[in-house]
Amino acid sequence: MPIFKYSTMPFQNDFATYEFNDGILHVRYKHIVLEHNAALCIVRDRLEIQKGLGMPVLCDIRAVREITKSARSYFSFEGSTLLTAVAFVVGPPVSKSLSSYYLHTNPHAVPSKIFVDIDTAVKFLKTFIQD
Amino acid sequence: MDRESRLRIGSIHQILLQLATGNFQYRIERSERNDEIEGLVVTLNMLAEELGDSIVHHGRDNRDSEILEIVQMSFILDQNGLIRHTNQKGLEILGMDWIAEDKMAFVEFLDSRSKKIWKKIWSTSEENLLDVDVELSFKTNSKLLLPKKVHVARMVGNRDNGTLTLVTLVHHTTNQKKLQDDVRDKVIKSKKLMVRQIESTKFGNPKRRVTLTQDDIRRIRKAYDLISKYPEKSYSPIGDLAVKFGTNEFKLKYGFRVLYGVTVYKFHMDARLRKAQMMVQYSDIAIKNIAYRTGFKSLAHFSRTFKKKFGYTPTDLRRNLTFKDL
Repeated sequence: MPIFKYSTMPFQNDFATYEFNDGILHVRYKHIVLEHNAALCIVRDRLEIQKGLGMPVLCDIRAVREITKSARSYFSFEGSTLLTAVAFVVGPPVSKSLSSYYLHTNPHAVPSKIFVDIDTAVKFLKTFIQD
Repeated sequence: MDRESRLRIGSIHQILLQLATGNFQYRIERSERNDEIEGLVVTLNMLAEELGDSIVHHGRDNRDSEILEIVQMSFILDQNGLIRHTNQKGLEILGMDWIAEDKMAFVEFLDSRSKKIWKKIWSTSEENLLDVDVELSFKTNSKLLLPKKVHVARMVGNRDNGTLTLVTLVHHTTNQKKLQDDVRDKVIKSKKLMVRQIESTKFGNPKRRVTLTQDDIRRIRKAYDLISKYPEKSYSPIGDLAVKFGTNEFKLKYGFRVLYGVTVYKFHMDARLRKAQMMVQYSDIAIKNIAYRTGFKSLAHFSRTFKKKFGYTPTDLRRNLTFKDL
């Protein structure tokens, strides 16, 4: 059970590590195939960490190999809960292809962009930090 | 170009040929590389998955057109995991050549990731009952992968011949000849491809036929995206939503069902409830406010509808359960 709210102490499950930094939640995905059950777990843990607060999230998906259709659908719908914006950090071409396909085929309710480096992603997300 | 790259490009050709003939079941085996070919492979695999899902669902709404047939593959394995028997379809789909004397190990037909999963299942001791559903990817003779949900059951009964294990899987495939004949007949009859009217729907006369153009499909997709993005908003009357996207109520309702297999109303209601469920679980917003935020006019109506969908009320969920307990 994650316990932090504003600390930078990382939390991890089998699929990702979570770290809160300067008002942005950084989620670094592990070297995995993202299936439906993984998506459930990733979203559940993120929401428990957020404690009901909406915030921008940086998804570092450079190590992700594959995302199944049901996982994509879950991320796009349930997975958008309490997000103010999302930045995908990718390592082209594989994770770039994954994220481009995801953004192109799934409706997303919050501003979402793809970046190749963390600094630019953070700069984008900072404008979405809520007081 | 090196040999490996040629083989990988060859797989891309193979899957494109399969897609062109309506076989959406195959996937390209992934490598650990992060290069342009792998980027293309990722996109093609997702595309095949997307098309496969849409054709199965399209088939459900078009039962009368008999586009689909379901082929079952079965394998009977001995205690060493060697294939003792399989059906003819199994041979065809996997492109196996059966030589009676030659016993093949089932695991050899799986990709590397599935091999690990299989070995884990297989290592279950003989005394234990084995009765599981698992997703495995089969290697076919075209070098493409066939991912399938399979049922693995260790058989009980007479053990004179050792313990046997039955592996069963259902394969959706298009009956190409039937599909092509069907399309040809339709073209000859009407000079254009007609989308079949779903029978026994509430959308009026079942004999009425509707043609959905590419523009119609784009408009319906826009309506779908809008509802998905903002489920809390009201889209009633649906006629107004249709006009907003330049179509009419009948086409929107009909097209929505054909494209997504669900009515506009049900899709919208489900989206509202899914959103509400996440808010009940993971926020401390008062349930009454969640009801308003997801477009319900009263708490009572929200609770009733919520319970009908999930089997428990929002208050039950908030009070007694965390997601981990469910």
